[in-house]
Amino acid sequence: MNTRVLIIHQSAIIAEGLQKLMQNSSLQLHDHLRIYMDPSEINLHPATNYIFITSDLLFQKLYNTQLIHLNMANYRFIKLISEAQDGNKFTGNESIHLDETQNQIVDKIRFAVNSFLPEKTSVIGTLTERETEILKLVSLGNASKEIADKLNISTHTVITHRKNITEKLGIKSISGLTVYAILNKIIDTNELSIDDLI
Amino acid sequence: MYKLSQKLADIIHHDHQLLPVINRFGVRLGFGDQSVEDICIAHNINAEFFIEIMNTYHDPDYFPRERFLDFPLPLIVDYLKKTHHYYYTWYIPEIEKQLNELIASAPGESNLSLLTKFYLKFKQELHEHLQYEDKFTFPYALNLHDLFVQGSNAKRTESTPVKSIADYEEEHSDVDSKLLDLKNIIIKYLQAGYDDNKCNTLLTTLFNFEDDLRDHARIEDKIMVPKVLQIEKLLFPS
Repeated sequence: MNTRVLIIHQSAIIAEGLQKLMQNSSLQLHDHLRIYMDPSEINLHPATNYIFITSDLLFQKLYNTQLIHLNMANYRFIKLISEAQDGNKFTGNESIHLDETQNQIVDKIRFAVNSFLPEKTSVIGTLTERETEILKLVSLGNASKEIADKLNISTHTVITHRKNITEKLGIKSISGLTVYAILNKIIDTNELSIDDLI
Repeated sequence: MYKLSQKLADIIHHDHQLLPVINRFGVRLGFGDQSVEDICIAHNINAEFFIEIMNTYHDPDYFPRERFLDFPLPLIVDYLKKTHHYYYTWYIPEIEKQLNELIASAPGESNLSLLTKFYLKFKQELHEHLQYEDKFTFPYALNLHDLFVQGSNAKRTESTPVKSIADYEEEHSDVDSKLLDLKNIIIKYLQAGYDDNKCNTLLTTLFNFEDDLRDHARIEDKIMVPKVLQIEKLLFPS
């Protein structure tokens, strides 16, 4: 799903300045970055994630005309604060101050972008049935091509599975994967000599 | 960043991980309040090189490539060789000793023997890698340097199987990933039926070794190899 960043601000200097700053950063938003001065002009697409960076002044209008129709899971909101707040500075990711550095601002936007990514941690350590099957064959010394032939799938698919297995387990080498497979009883060491495997 | 004018004792207090690094240069403790510069003069060490090595080791984000490329190749190779020696004589036996102590702390834990097997595999690969460099890569680099410096007075050694330094550039990744695997197996997958403190000691050593290897590989890949490539280009333009 796409993520778009919309800057909504009454001041062209601020909006365009912020846009420039993001374009010159490592965020790689390309054409997913837009500026609006009037929230009612925005045309929101379903199945798109939005990050709104907007002033206090326009937030209410944005909410009333647009956000009311949107699923909350699909947008993030960053408040742009242009007035000096006497000593009471927000440091959280939900607001940007005009006197912050490019890095600070970019980090906040990146944080918002990343918050849309699926939680990776929840799946770490748990392999799917197919992945377990492939892990077993890898541990028994099969090359990707052999595994592809045995399971009647393409080598490319096997390689993708292997990449996912390594990512989930944090183990890259074949002998390391074999150790994991033995520890988790994915392969039976009663029938096989460990010396041959590792 | 550490400076030549600083007392070496202060630097060691600040980052004690640098201890093996100063040893590699032949500097031993008991240096009182001497500055880095004075110690280097006393030990006949290239002080600029010494401090840059210290700084890159201390801060993984710091790597003054251009400055390193200015140092003579034999100086760099000599440091790399000494690092290898340190791995052979200290790190590898030490890891093995700690691993054995860990295993001895949990008699009957059959899963721990898997760890030994995996470790031996890692050790074998590491040995092969280090030996290959000691036997072929470093002599090749030094020979090329001699050829370049002395002109036609030096002879190109024909015995090396290395055609160009570029042929061996990619070899580090296997050793690195096995070490990472070893750590992950211990941290994530091995049920702790052993002495915790012994395991912590081993893991700490593995973490330190990993940092050391990373720094070492960086100097090889980003300094030694480009320097040799440069000489190759000048000597054998094709």
